[in-house]
Amino acid sequence: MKLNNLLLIAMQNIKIHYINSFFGFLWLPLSFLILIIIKTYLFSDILNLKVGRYIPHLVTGLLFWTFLSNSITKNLNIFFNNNMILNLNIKPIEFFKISYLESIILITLNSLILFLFFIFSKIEINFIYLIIAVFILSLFVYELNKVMSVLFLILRDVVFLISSSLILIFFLTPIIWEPSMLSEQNLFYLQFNPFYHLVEVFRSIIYGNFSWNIHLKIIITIYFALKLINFFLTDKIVSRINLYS
Amino acid sequence: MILKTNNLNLTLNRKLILNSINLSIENGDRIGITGKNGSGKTVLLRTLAGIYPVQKDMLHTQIKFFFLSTPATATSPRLKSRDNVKRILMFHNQNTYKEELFLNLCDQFEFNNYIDYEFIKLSQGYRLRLQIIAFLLMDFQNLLIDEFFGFGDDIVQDKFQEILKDKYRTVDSLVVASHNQKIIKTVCNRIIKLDQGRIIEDYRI
Repeated sequence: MKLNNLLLIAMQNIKIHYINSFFGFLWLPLSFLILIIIKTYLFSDILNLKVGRYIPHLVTGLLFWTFLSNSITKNLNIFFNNNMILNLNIKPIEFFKISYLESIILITLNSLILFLFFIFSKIEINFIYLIIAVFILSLFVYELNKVMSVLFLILRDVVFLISSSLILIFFLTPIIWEPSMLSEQNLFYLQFNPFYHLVEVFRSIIYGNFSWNIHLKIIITIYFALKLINFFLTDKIVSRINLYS
Repeated sequence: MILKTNNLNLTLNRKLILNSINLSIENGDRIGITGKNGSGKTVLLRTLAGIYPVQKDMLHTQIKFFFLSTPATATSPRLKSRDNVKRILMFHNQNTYKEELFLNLCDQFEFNNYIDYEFIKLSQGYRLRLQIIAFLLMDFQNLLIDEFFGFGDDIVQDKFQEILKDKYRTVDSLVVASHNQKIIKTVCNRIIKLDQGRIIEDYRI
């Protein structure tokens, strides 16, 4: 299926979601703006953190998290409840791509909000670094979501675990808190959370502090492992999904 | 030869649905596939379309068939008719929407008053008309149709057949699965009858 058709369908799906509402699809960036405004002032007051340092940390974390959780949640039933798969002659993977493009549209709009928010808050930000960070994050999340979408089809129980798992992952990953708040022992356990390394790489690119560090090495390793799983296993399963629908 | 199957077998949910299907489709074939419910018509069409993957030595084809089943699955309940027609076309990978032709077809199928209706508010009859309009906007060379003609009142059926006669002349090959004998006799030059996943009759008319 042509990319422009996939993109048009993704845009139409978003439009449908907000149909008959006054702001329409603008609720996507508006929701994010409301989220960062509330969380910025709420958590900086509760956690009593230096606002100048905490706000970029929080807002970049929220951008990361809204994209990750949105794309995972969208894929929960992408192959299972999809009656279009057998009635339309489109490869099953195309439905995954449409769903993923919807998440890309979301993060694109949210990135613009983040950029404007930083400008308004007089926080230094380089727009090019932001684009690069979002691009690298989207590559990783694409491969991750591909593996998870097949997992959701084969192991249905995982679908029902995911909503509570996402909440847990949110609190175990330094989205709204900083690693420096942890004790040494907890910091050691944090190393086993792959999303911690991913968000650190994401933030370091946005801040322009990008370096060949342990976070990047782990993320690259996981990325290529996911790529291999997708190449040898996932793509083959997805191409034969109609046999199991 | 456009397509050839070689002892095509297909198992779904551990049940053999297609059993030793040997079928060839030539340029100019207008094939009607008949058989009672559960004989394997839909599965056969989906297999020929590539929706159900099979072993490479069982199915040889140089072309991609255009598969039409229930376009309504691509619609969205809250979209208006024009947007739903465009959506159906997008999901069938067709960039063939033309406003003039769309309005012309709406006129022919007495659909003008329903262009701004949401799909959810249309009756079953008008939902079918919307699907027919979308279908008639499509462009294809080799077509597989699954039970698409079975519904609608006589006026819709007659109008549909009238427009279809011209459209069918331009396709290279056509395979239709239907219980509608009128459509089969009008459109097809070859009949294949299925029973329990096997071809029991294959003759030209």
